[in-house]
Amino acid sequence: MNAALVIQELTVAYQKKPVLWHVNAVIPQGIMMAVVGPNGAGKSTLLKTAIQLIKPMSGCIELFGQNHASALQRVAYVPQRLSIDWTFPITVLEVVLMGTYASLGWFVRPGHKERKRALDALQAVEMDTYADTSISQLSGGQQQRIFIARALVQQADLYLMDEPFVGIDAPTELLIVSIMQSLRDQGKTMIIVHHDLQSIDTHFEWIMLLNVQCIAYGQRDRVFTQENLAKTYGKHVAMRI
Amino acid sequence: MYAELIAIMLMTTIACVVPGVFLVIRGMALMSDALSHALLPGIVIMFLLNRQCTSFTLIIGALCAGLATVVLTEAIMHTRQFKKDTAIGLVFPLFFSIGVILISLYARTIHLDMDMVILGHLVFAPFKRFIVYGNDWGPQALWMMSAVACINGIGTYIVYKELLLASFDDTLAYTSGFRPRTLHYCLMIMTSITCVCAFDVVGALVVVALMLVPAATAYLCSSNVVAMMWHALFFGVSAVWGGCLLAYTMDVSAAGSLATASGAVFMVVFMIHYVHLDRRHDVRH
Amino acid sequence: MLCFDYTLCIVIVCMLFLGCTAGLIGAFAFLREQSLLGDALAHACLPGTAIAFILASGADRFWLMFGAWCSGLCALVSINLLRRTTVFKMDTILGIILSVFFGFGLVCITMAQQYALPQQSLLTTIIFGNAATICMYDCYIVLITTCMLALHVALWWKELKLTTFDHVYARTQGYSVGCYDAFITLLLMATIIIGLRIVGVILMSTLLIAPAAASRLWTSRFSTFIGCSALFGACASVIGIMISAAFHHMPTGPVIAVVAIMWTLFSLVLTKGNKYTVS
Repeated sequence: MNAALVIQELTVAYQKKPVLWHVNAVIPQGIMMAVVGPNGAGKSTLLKTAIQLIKPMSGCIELFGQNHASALQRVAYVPQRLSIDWTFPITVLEVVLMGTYASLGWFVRPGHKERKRALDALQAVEMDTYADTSISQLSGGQQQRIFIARALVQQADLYLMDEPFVGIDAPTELLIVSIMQSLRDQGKTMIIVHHDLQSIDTHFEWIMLLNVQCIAYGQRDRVFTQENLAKTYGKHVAMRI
Repeated sequence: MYAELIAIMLMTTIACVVPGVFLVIRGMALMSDALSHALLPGIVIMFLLNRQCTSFTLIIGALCAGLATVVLTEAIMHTRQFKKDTAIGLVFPLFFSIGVILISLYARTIHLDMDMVILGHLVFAPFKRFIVYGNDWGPQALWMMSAVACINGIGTYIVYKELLLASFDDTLAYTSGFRPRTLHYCLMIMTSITCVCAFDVVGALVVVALMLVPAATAYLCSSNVVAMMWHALFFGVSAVWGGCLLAYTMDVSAAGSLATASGAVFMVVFMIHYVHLDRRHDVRH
Repeated sequence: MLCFDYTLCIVIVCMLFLGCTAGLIGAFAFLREQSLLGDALAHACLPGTAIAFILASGADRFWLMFGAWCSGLCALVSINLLRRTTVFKMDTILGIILSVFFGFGLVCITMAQQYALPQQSLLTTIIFGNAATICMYDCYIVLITTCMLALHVALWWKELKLTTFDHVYARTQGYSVGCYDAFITLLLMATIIIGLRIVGVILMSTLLIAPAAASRLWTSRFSTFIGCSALFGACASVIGIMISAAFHHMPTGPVIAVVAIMWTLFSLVLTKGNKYTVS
């Protein structure tokens, strides 16, 4: 079976400043992996390079063994909440429906089937009563939920999420984690940029420590050590593991 | 004749509203101002190359200038040294100034008068007729603006979901295989064509008013983009009605009246919005 | 061949100081990301000018400026109101104010034309200014404005620096940020109104943006940035005048605008990769 993500000698630089440097990793399918590291470590850049939004200076990322745009059909990307314009005049259902557009192609409008899929996804995130609400009226947790619903509708095999747990309430966090874990149990792969080291134990079984270079990655028990954390964050982090 | 004037104003407003809605929701409102100024050198150069001044060649010239504006603005933004506002504020005065210099140097004696460029010649529009095989089909401007309105409407209808997606979340648009950059350029071309055709009728600055103000008014009372379009059309038509009234009773610039009336409609809707505003909920993020 | 006659000298001196002032206040506007605010305010001065023209039955400088000032203030108040009470992005607000005020101005101008007042096209004057009719009076006004501006900026230097850079922190330190905001905006308006009659809307807006943008590329230090911006503004004006004086039928305003912007674009190419990035 193809690995979900194969990163080979990936280097991404911006204006002579390296953001990712000779990163190598093979990430298998069916796991839930956290990508952690300090600010400016290149975590978001890694995700964006995976979906071919950013061109690497050298090296490559392969999705399910393929290097071209058709592989993107199997990937769902959930961006940081801050990068979205929440004053846009659009309803919750319309946002979730956008996840179906890729399967429809050009010029075809979403029909009943797509609406049903969208409503089912909204039900899974407990937001079905908000289907016709304008997104400007949502709280942080609700915003994140509709993005998860949109990702669900895409029926992808690989889910890339950029800091989905920032600024949301505890019930939403638990709900999202349970959805992710059930997706993982179905054989999907989740790669999540995560900011909170305390919750690594409960949520993730794989971890990648990134600080421009890949310090270590793999199963949490093996990789999430004091020594590796010190290398990633410098000497300041003390964790009770 | 007044009926034709009103018909021209109506079709111009309808043609402008469609790209206007997308410009407002994409946060690119001032591109309409930039484009309407920057089209000038395109028109002038075409005119200098070919002294006939037919509408079609002017549209081509203006389109080239419009595309050049967009490309240069994006190139400046791409260097990541300036924000979008600054990039826009550098490019369109450059183009406009070049246009004015060219006019002053080479085209002073012809009727490409600056007043006309800014004001448009709405009142003269019914006099330029569309004559085919000796039959008078009505004012040229009416046909032109109707054609533009149709193209804008049909074009938007066909790629509505792609435009919506690219406007809201261009990353998802990209990964779904819809090319957001191509759509962006298509929207810019649509805006440029609308600008140059409406230029002739209402002048540079009122085009901006017609594009932005009904759309912004609709933004205040719509929760989705389709509703916004219909509301914008309604507010645009109200502005035409009000503008005609103003122009007729006070005998003032028809184009200016159109812009003023759209502003008046906006003020009314804004006051209703303000009264209903929930003071506890901070709308600014 | 350039003839250094008296008129040209006055024009050069006047434009030198105007360019300097515009560069100076434009630098602050640039840092506050209010570059296009100047453009919108410049367009918004039209209805006030036209109404003043009608009421004063002619082109009395003082009344025209007063009219422009009132109009500009209305626009400012409207912009702030819209900003506080709607979800519109700033450029939508600027676009609305700019076009509606300007459209209303067109209505007022055509009303003025009905009165058959003896004056050349007011509209063309507003858009392009009338550098050819600069006289000593204008020169004095610009000179006084520049001195006042420089004085105030020097007096409130550290407060302006702080409130421009981080207004949240400034507030926690007890500074009345709203006052300084209003102060800069009023200085901006004053510069625009002084300059409008001389150089018109498009050039005024360019002089507020281009020298500041160019200056930002060359330096990262606050004081150097402000100084450079004033310098570039002054240089662009003088060079533009020299060029337009050297050729027949070259309009002054657009030439200055082209010089200022081309310098910014050259700076962009020359300083590539040196400095900061914006998101």
